[in-house]
Amino acid sequence: MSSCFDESRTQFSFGEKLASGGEGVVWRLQSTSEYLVKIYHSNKKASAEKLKALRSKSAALKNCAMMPISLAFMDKNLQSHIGIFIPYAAGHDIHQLYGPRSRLQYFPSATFKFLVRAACNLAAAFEEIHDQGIIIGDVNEQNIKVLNDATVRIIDCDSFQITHNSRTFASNVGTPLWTAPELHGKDLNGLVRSRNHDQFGLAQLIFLLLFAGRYPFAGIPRTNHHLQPEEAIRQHAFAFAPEHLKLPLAPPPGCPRMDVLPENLQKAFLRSFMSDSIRENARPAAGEWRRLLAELANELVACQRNSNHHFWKGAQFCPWCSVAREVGIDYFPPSNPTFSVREPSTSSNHRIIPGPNPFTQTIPQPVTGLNPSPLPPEPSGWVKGIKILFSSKSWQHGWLKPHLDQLRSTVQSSESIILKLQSDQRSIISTYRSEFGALASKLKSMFEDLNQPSNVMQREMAAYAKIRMESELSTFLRKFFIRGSSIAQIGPARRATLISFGIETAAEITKISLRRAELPTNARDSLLEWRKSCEARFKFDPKRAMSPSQIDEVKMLTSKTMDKIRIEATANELKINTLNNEAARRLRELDVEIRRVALRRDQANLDVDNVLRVLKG
Amino acid sequence: MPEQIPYIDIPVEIYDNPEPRCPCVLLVDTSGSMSGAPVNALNDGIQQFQTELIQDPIAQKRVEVAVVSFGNGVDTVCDFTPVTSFLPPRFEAAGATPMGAAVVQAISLLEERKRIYRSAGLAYFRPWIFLITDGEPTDMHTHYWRQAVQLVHEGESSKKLLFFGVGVQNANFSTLNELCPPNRQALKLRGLSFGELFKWLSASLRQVSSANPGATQLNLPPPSSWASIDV
Repeated sequence: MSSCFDESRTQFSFGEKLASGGEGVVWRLQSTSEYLVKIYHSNKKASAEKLKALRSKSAALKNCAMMPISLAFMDKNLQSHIGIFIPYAAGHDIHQLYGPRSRLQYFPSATFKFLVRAACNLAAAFEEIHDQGIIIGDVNEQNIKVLNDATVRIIDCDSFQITHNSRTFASNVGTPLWTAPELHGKDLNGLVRSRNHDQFGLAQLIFLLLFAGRYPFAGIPRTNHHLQPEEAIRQHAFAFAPEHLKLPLAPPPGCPRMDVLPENLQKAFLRSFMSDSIRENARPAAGEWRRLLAELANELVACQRNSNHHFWKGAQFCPWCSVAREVGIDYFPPSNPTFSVREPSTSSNHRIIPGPNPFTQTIPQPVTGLNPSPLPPEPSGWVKGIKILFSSKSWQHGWLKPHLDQLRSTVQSSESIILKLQSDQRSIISTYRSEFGALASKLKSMFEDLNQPSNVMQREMAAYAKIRMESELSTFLRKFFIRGSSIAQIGPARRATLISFGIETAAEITKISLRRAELPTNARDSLLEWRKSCEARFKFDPKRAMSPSQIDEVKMLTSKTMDKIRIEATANELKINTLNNEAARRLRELDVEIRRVALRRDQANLDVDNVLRVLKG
Repeated sequence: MPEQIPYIDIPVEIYDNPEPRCPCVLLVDTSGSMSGAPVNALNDGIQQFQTELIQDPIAQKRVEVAVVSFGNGVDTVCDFTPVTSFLPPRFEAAGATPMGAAVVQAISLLEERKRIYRSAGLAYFRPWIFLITDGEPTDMHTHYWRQAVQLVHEGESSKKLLFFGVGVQNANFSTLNELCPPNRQALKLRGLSFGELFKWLSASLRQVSSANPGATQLNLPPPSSWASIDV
């Protein structure tokens, strides 16, 4: 199967496979990225009636739930549905936001303010859905997407519980960690659930968002009995409950306590998690959460020590500083450029390269509007006396000839000066172009790096992989002890010598270290051979995921490189500007000179014409 | 009463990722009889195990793996580590089969890890011990074996752990079943289908650590892809 039809008999071809799970496979579509199609496994198909009932609400809930917009069919007859079309939701799973480490990775600039906003939006989404008479049912950390603006989209909506024409279609599914205690042990299949059940999952999600990813039912055990995570939920073992209640769990270290929140929010959590919560409508409704969280959002202040720490203004102290002091971890680290590689906003980093300037050589146009210069004065005195000896023509020719020659030579020399100056201009332009090209291509790749830190990170990752391989190889080789292995030419005496030179494992065997130990060549060769055989067992996979601290190191290296690139880019921009200005200045000087000489040439030309006219009489 | 409080070092990764943990010990036989194709298939299987767990964003946050090998002695190849930083080892087969001592070692690693979880206030699922062997224990007549059998059976009945035994080729199933909990007898690996075995293991851990397990019943996928029926 590679395509299917929607209810209006339009055919859609499948694109890439996006996910495959217990219920079916989700595909992208080739013609549009706005919608996806989910094709059910044949035995997991939701009924057409239920899907149609959900579809009827899709427009009303389009900003909070990715409801089916059409059924999907195998053929044009629309015989029997095989799946649904659903809108695509961008963003990341909500657990990537509440997990402190994954938050830094997926939402690097999200502060507590952002978390409160996301929690508030989550409550608003639940409220909207509940207002439509729908129960979400399978609330869990993988069914909720958070976008970059902290708005929220619920996905996998075909498991919603909906009542249509007085028939209720149940949700049928749930996960123990997210299921209200009163439903534990019950068969969810066909079970009709209430808002109060959804409100358990909602409260837990809000708690996770506000309390550094801590589960309300996880804490330090007060007894020796280990509570399974689901068991803790069933026992209402809310670890943050007041101490005098002596619940089985005490609050965990490295996490703020409830008193950093306004009292009405604390009470809301207690109403959600304590044993009274199982009474119908006992847990706060989504709308109540939304109002409480909106109030909190308005009452947040920034910490004086770290402006990335936000907290409720009624708290006695900054809870994030307090946790940092307690366990040494800052959940909202200062925006230190050496520890976060953030995608730059396009506006501030959309830099353009100045130039190349479209320089051209000066081609002087003939100067118009010139007047002929006055002729040189006729000879006077005795010379004039001999005028009568000549015809008037040859007389004139005689005394104007030197003048004419001079004018002609002026024209000639001007021409050659102009050619020389033009060739100077051309050489300046060609030097400029090649220098500009070199600088510009350098600068261009720097700008690309600055706009795409992920590429820089890739390069750092590759370089780091090499270092990692060397360090892992050496760790690996340190497991091969000379004393435990049988190596040709190496008996107990040589082993002792080796140990005295600090050579105990394959890692320390090198040509240099062996020479220092003054072993004979055959023993040295045998040891090197043995090291090689140990190395052969080492397998390195550069694609293997790195540990969090290694990733941090690469991130740090990346931001250092980014800083360097930023400085270099600025320096190169300066160089290009200087180059532009300098070339422009020199070309302008030559231009002025060319025009000046051209004027002289044109004047001389005009004068030549004038003299010739006089001579012709 | 004056009370001494033991010092427990809580790694930063726990605060950074407070998801409930699902610890799993791989307990692998690397005795001489595994050499050649079996140990190579095992190595590739473990590599694949990691690759698959890493692809699941929730399992990635929850599953922690430790590896103990037994052959040339009992070796903690890798103490508990998140799957993202787990370095799949490559084993060389050699030596005897000190299975009992290895089980005891695995359980003590688990206890140590659980102490960290408890003091960090982290929830955790029932830990898994997954034993793979192709022979019979060479320490059957030592106190280790008796202790191992006792720890496994006690752990199972008090729901403190889940023990899975898998026999490869000529494994001695009667002694293996002496160790395995009565309600979950050893399974026989079909040929050398370690790939399928670890695929099943990662799928099961993913299920336990996140999606829809029955609230009360452990509901794992059937091991039919790798286990043969004629045990």
